[in-house]
Amino acid sequence: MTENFHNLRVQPPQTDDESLREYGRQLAMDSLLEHVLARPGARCCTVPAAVVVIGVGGFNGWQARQAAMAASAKVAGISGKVEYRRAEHAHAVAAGDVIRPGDGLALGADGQVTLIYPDGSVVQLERNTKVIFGAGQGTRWLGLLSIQAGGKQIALDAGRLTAEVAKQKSGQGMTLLTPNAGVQVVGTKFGLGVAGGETALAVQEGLITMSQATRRLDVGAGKLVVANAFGLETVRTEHRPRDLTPVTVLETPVHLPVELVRDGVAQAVIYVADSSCRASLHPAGNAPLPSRTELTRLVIELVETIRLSTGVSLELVEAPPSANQPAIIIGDCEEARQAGIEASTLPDEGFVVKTAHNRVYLVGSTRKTPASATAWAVADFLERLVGVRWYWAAKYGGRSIPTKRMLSILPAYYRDQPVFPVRQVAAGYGNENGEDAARIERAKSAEPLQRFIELDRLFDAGTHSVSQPQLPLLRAGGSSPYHLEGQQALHARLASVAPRNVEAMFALQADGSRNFNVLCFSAPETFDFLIKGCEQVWDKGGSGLPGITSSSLNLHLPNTIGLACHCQACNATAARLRDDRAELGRLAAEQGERLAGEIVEGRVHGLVVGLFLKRLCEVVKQRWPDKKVIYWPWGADCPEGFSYPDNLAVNLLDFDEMMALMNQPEACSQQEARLRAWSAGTAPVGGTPRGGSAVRCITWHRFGGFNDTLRGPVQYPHALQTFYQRNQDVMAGVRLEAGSQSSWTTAAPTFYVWMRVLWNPELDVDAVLDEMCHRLFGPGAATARELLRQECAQWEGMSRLPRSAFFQKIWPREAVVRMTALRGKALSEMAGDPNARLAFLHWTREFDEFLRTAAAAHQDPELAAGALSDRAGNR
Amino acid sequence: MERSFEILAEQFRPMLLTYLTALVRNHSLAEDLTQETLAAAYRSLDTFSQEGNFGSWLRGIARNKVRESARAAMRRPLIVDSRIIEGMEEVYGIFDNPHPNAGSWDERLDLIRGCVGKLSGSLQQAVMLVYGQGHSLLEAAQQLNSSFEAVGQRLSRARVLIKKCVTLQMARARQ
Repeated sequence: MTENFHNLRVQPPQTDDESLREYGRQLAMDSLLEHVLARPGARCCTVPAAVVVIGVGGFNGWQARQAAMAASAKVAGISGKVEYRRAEHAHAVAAGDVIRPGDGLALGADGQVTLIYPDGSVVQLERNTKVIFGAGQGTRWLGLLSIQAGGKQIALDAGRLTAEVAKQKSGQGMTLLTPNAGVQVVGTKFGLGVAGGETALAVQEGLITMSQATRRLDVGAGKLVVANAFGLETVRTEHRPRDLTPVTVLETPVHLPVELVRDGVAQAVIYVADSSCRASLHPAGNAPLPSRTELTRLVIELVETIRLSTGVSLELVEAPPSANQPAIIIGDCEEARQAGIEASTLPDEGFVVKTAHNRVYLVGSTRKTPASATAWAVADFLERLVGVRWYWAAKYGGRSIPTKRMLSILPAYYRDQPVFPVRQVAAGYGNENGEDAARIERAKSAEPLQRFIELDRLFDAGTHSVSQPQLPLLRAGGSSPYHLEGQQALHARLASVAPRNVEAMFALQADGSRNFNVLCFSAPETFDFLIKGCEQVWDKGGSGLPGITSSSLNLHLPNTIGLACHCQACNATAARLRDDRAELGRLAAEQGERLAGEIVEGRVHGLVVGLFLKRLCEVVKQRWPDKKVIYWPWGADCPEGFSYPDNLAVNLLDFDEMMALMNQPEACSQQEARLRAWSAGTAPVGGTPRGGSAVRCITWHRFGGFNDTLRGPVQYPHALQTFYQRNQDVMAGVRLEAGSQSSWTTAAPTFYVWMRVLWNPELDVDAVLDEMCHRLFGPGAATARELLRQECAQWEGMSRLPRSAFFQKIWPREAVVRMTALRGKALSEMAGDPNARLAFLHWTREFDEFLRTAAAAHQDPELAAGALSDRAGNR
Repeated sequence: MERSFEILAEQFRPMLLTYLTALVRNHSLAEDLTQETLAAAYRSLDTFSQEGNFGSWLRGIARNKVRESARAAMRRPLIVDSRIIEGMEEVYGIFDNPHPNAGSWDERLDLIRGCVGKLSGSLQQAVMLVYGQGHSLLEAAQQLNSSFEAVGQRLSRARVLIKKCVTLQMARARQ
């Protein structure tokens, strides 16, 4: 049976009972006749050849001739392949030809035609479009649509047209018929398209009536309506899936959806404005591949995900495509500027997604990090408008791509930027193969100390193969002007290159000797040494001291317990803290005498280096205003009474795994107090603060660490969101480091939320987790979600970290039993869905280890019975 | 039970597909819904009365499937008006009755082919161009050197005649 709306029969305009019953009879007869007669071999009666008449005729009398003239259009412009179709005959169309009622036009892939009617109405037909022109000779009804005598008629079988219709005389409106809708126009500007069983109508000016069967809808300016098997629907273009962060929606343009793929055929091409990115996508000859940026990674992902979604690869073109060619335009270029996108005015890492007729523009800010800003535009487009999600590596089933034969992009215009400009991820521990895998295995079975040694070795190896390609998809990186130089023992390295003959530069020990591994921060010689290092790099362009990069000077607090220097100057500075007997007494009462002494010495240490740092910042600001100083105080508190220049940023490393505990009031208040104390005296770190405060700190965390040490499923996505929401005014972002394999498996949901929250903490975390389970775990989604919910509850539900019997208190026996049952149930529900099973087994990869640990902790071997005995087989 | 249902289902599958295509105007969706309707019918077979009309019962389930499908897509179904459904039932109901020489629903539909053959030449041409070859009214009018309205009127007349003809033949068969 065909689905042509043209074939809806004449229906009385009334909607009384009998008329509607008659319409039902008509629908039934239509369906039965088409079923019987359209079947192969159904040839009860054939159409005599004689009735096939070429040409136009059938008009009698003056009125009919007038109607035909009014409904004829002249070809005003033409390009590409365009053919007349009159009955069985086809020939090329030329400019100046008159298209009369009864004519058909078929446009090729490069075809375009502009038609002008005698009253000045203009109709533009686009590529791959098929139309037939007609003219009414008496009022009749098509569904609820009145087709009046003398009006213009266009049957749009496929493709799309845009029209600017002059005010029509009464009774001579333009009628457009598509396979599943009718449209009536009195005078307006609009676009109409047919694809994949749907008709889309975009009204730019005026009012248009759209009708389908027994429904009728008046469509006003600025609206996009789609007619399909389910009826007429006004399309809302809010672009806010619940699981994504919000964007700033700008005035949405009015045009037909941009067709990227139609019926399994590519309609659009991709043009990347950045020539170096194009070169890396199309390396010439045997030239070495230029280094791949985030943008290159995302463009490759764009092509790949659209191919997986539709089965069609969009072509990457070298030159800007013509206006008639639907295209995705990536990056700042003349055409994007003409479309009103000024990339240079966008904030750091900000981007714009904007559609227009035949166009999708994905443009990032050209400030600081243009390649990544445009990459984020591509990532957001794929997530928000195509429906892709990257929960974890695709090869482990963590990528979700909706499949569709048609891919059209609805009108959109929005912009966005990250809340936190620093979103760095050190993606170690990712390699599953070779030596690293062996290390991971050794680490798992080792004693705690040996385990950390193994893991640290892995970290030093810096292998990134599993997680690294995933990071640009989650917009890891950032626009911080600082190059964080902190992994190695920076202070020791600095001391090692200091001239030993200048003894005053080194810490004076209690026995009068010098410690050549630690610098004295009261010595003017140390200060001069660092300033000369800056001159060497920033003035002379040479290589400098450890920690001095092209944009910043990194200074680490020496990693000693308390102040290592006993020189007169250091002692004089320290005296004001050491001599505060009242404070020492208070601390001793709270923490005990030994710990109180250590705390005071830690403060002394911070104060001496803090004074040095303040002078350093002042001189750097005066001599090199565009350079920054990054201070790494580790766990030291901020010395009181300081006010630093605005070229200082602080990288707090002491949070380590503490972020996992941020739902606990005690731990959280302690960390927040330190963060806010430091931020009170420090400078903005890249980006534009949203909260009004100009002071930001970077924090450094390890994620997945608790998963490793406790061997349990630790999830804390809600705690993360709360923390970042509350502290976004004083934070610039984070540097994240992974624990071991469980960082990328068990902790994957938490990590995914972490990256989303760093972009913008205004996120519906539960909607993210719901969507993740729904997309990845198919028939087992509800059970998997329940398991994830329980994992969150067990960890986030702790009011404080237990001081003993961690495991038993966090995961009581009954919780372990329930989680085991949920895991088993989910797996059985996914038995027939290998993709869901792959994703689930990846996420719960460490679950057996959890059960074995639970069995030992609870002294109940039965708990280990839930482990998958044939793990390999179950994969 | 299962085997007899399979036989019945195969007999009524074409009817359901045709009916659902008329309701949702999308062939692939109609195919999916046909399958779902038959599956649902099998599950609730015990609710079907032996004296009832099996075709009508199936179409009722089919309409529910259309509504469910529309709800899942968060859209209204295209055909919702009970009076339109009544009109459709009136026509489909003609073929629910048994016929001595046409056991299956599809065989009963062959009566339509015979009735089309009895139409006058101009009506036959219009019917075959539009229903047989899938031309739009405009295309058919072009081929017949006629107007849109004239072709529409011919089809309207043809439908009335075919319905009368089929109804008469089914009634005669019952006598």
